Amino acid sequence: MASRLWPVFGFFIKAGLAGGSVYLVYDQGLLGPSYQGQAALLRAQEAIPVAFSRYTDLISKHMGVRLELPSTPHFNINLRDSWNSGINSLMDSLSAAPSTIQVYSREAWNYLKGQK
Amino acid sequence: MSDTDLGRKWDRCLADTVVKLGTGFGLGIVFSLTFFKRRMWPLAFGSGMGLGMAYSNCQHDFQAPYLLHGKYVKEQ
Repeated sequence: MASRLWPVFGFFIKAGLAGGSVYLVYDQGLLGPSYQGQAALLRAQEAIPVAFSRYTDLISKHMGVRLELPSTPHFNINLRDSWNSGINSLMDSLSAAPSTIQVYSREAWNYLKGQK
Repeated sequence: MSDTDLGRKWDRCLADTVVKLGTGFGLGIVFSLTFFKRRMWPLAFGSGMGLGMAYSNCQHDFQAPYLLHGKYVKEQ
């Protein structure tokens, strides 16, 4: 009798886990509008370092091992400005290409004439 | 739309994409472990759904330039 009930218990445990995770996601507003997702990310960014430091303090008290999060690298790259300056440089070089080619070909021709 | 509004919308869009992708991936892991015998397709399905929802939200945000996001403050 008990051996026949184990699969049923197993199913209800799995259903509880899956349903609980879906409810948690819905309750936190993770699959809702974009401002709710942004707010959830900000909450996580504030809560995770605090929780991590609390647990590392607990671990260091019991085991004498100190764990630390590495500092997050700060990138100061402005993608829009980099892209725009790249496009400007490309267009400037393309517009100046005919006259540049003319100058270099004249110099090459003079060099070859001088060599003969 | 001013530059600051556009920047704020991009920030919101990227944050939402990260959250929805992670949530879809996490739910995919849960369902893969509980019901689908550790197969890979629930992870791909969940991630894809999260990414699609985030893309749809971003599209709606950028196509509605005059919609303001506000917070309701209760009277004290």
